[in-house]
Amino acid sequence: MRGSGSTAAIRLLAAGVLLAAPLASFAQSGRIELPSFAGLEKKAVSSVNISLDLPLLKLVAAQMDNGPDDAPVKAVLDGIEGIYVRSFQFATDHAYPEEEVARVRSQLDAAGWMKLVSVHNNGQNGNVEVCMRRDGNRIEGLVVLATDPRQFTIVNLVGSVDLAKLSQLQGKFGIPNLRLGQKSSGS
Amino acid sequence: MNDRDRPPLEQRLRKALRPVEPPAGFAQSVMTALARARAAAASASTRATRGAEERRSMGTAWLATRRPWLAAAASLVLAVVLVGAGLWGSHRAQELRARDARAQVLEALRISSQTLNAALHASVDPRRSG
Repeated sequence: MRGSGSTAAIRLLAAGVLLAAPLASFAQSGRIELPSFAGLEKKAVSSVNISLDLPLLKLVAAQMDNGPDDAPVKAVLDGIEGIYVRSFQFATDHAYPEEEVARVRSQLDAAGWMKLVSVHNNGQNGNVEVCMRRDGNRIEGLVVLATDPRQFTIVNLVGSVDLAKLSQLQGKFGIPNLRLGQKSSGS
Repeated sequence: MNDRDRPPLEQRLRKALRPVEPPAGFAQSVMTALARARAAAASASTRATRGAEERRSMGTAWLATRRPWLAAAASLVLAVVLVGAGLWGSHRAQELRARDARAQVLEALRISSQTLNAALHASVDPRRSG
């Protein structure tokens, strides 16, 4: 009886370790756990769901040449280990599960994440957050979370993100000008 | 009308075409010639058949001695063709996957820049968030 009890305990412990391993990998890296938002694209006016892991990014980088078009993209991808985007837009207010987005936001409250920008506009119910996870001088990940009643966008760039390199892509491939360090004309 | 009254040409034709008895032994010599021709034809046919058989048996022997090599060569060619087709298919699939992923990367970077811009704007002017 005692033997079978200890075996069961070992099995339970092993199962716990196996279950906790992926969560630990999420917690230790710049990657956050994004909900699947399954079925939400049917309700949305427009939706984007992109999950690019390291092997895919390496494949893309390998296919790129060093020409003027591809070289800046290659430079941005250098060091990035994953790109995950969830963006949904709806025709009506509060059509998406806000508790799921709140669960994503709560992950950014965990230790290691640093809030660079956090704007809560109660007048328009719009929230924007930019969070970064660092390990010393090394950036491990960046999360941009923008929500309002009719849309939300979550971007998770995993790995070493160089915003200066990203700004070099502005004006190309439909990428808007990244106004780093610029002040709004209205302010 | 007797022969003297007929024109000379007709007389000559009649004389030339009059029935003549064959020489003695004519039928026999014809039959002998026919038998000889038949035998020659049969002999030629036999030779041809034998030649074909010989060639066939030589071919079979040649095939028999080289059959393992031929089978191996055919298998090798088939394997090369199959592996080549597989590699090409895999390369093509990877190329399509990379092209699709590239479009996704650009879309993701576009959305990232757009959202970062919105965040930076909002941080400067909170009324313009989202």
